[in-house]
Amino acid sequence: MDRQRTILRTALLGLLVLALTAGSVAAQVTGEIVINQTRQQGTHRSSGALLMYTPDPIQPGSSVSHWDTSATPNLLMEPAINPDLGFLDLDITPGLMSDIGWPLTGDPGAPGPVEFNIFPLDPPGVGFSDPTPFAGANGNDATTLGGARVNLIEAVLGAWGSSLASDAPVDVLVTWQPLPCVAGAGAVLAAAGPLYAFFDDQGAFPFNNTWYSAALAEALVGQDLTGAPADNGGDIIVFINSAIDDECLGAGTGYYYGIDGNQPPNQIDLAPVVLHELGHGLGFSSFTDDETGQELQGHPTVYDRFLRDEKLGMTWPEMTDRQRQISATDFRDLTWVGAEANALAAPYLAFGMPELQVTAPAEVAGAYEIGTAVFGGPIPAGGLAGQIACMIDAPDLPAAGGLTERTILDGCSAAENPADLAGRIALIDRGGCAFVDKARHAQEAGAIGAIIVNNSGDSPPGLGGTDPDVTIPVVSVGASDGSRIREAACPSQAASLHDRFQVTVRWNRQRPGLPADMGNGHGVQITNNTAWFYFARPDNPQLLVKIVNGCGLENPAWWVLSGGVTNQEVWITVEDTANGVSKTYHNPAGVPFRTTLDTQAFQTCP
Amino acid sequence: MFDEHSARRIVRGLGAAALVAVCLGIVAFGATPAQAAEPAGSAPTTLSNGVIIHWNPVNRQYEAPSAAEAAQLFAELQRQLAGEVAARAGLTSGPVSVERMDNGMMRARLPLSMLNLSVVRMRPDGSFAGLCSQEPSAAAFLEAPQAPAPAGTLEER
Repeated sequence: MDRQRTILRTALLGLLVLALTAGSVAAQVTGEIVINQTRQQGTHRSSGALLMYTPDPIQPGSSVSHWDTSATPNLLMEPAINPDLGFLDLDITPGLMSDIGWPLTGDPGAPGPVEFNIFPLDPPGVGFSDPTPFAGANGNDATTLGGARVNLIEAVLGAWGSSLASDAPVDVLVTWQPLPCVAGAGAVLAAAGPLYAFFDDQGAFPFNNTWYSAALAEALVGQDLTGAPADNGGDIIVFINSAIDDECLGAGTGYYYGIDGNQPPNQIDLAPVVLHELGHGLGFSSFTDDETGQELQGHPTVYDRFLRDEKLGMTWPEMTDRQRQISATDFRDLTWVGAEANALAAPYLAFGMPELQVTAPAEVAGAYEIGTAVFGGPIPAGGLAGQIACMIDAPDLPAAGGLTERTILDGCSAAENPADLAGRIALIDRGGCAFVDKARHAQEAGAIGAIIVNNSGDSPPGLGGTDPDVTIPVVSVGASDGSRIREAACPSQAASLHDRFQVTVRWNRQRPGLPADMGNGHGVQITNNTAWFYFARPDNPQLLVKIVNGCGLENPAWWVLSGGVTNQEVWITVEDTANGVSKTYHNPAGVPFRTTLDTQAFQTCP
Repeated sequence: MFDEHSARRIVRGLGAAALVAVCLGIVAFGATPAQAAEPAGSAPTTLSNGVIIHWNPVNRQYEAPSAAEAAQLFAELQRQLAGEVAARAGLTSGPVSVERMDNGMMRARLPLSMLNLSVVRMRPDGSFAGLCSQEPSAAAFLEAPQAPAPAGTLEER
């Protein structure tokens, strides 16, 4: 039985290969994988403004309250706190703080360095007064654990105080508590944020009707606004996981309290963690909900006023909730337009951003963000130019079975079209096998490079793996970008039913405030008379089209039947190749797909 | 002329004064913890770069702000870390209380669910992959079998 199924699947997939390769023409797509030496790492490909981090909608992580991870050298306020950060180095962060309104210590007429009031929330013997003997660490000569913590947080606050100026002290509530931690798995290290936000419509702050974090608001008005912590006041709260010091992550693990940034591999440098989290508490943060796009009480955060989506051409306060929601995951199109941060970044960030620059055809020409691989050859200094060709491999069966996984564009077996790939850059879908296997198959077919199209998100993944035999450069592109390129580079994917009727699907996705998103449906033939279609992703079937031979009935005709699970605008065109007659069925945008039952579609029997 | 009416007024006046005194006492008493924030004789720390830090005495009352909410937040993360897929209701949309102050400004008490959290996952080689995020992304990072380390590379496919 299993063998029969296998044969059936193989036959069906073989039909799919035929449908994809026969009678269809792909455009010549030319492009170049380059290290763009005129673009600084961490900046937008066209505007040059600093990029903000946008989590992938499929694989969420972090938030827009961070710099993009492409910035080099690594920045303090990136989502991941990297070990190569300069110790207690605020890098370009003061520029952003200045943009949102913080006076800086070097500014003419600025008040003195901000003072800090630390309010330990823990009882005696805990946290900052923990009497556990401390052996000492570089730059930290405390004799107790509590003393080491005091020294460390003073050093961290000193870094912020050397940059920010205010007449109003910042009240920082700190508590050391056992927070979530599982040995060998992971832990919460720390958490921080402002306790209050303020807004005014009478000119107290640079922007009216705009939320400011408490410490920043107080700096702008020069006085305390929250009241005493004992009265439920305070500006910033910081939680630090005390369990880390109890080796909760495993034997030998713990926080590193040295004040030099040279932590051993099994320890976690606490100073940059707290430095980073305090940055959020001091104002490096949006109060707008990333996931819904809703502003806090219907008003923007001052941070939002400097967030601009380059694709939408708007700042966050100019957008609708839906647009902000989309912008929050708009990969490498969300920028910081504050002048001070960008001025600091200009001499700070390294030049040389990897890109895919498509030069033709015009409809897909442009610069695309790419991910790079840890295997394969480097991107040549002069770039890797060539035609981008769709790699089609043997109809291998998907590992998990089922017809929802396309298996002939994934490069998981030897290329069926080596003549198309020789001397060209292979375009391959992600999924089904290791990145290195895809790359090796492309290389064996003569490809000079490979581009892997993400199947689960609009960000181009970094590509892991090891294979010394792979020597061609390999990069990735996001799903939407890859879909556009694939539309042009790969044969059109009509379904051929009854070996006579060519069924093509065109879709048009309209989203309020966003550019139109159009493409061809991809046909997957199920039987000789039926095919299903997906639009952008093979794991998301949208339509089923069936052509029934009604020639033997009372009113002889070929019937066209269709059903769908979409409300996008769709055109289904069926062409009878026997005589060139065609018919198009249209489903309007925003309308649940209307079933087609056209029993007089083609009166061209037999 | 001192008469019964005058006596009543004096008694009333004394009563009012006593009431005022009691109220003042309450106000003064209420202000005491705030004054304790600057303990007498406790000199602030002046760092080498001139930044001044004031250390305030431990006061258990400070635990009051949103302690229950914090407990809920971290308890939720603990469940996520343990691999359970638990309901996250209430964490991402915690209540925000807004009030107008005497000076006309609006003041919002922010929920702890808006905190940024630094979390780490241990890689198989014992090194750490870190992420700073708000809930629920932080929890998703903790529970993900292959944590999407933003700066790193996806594993194999």
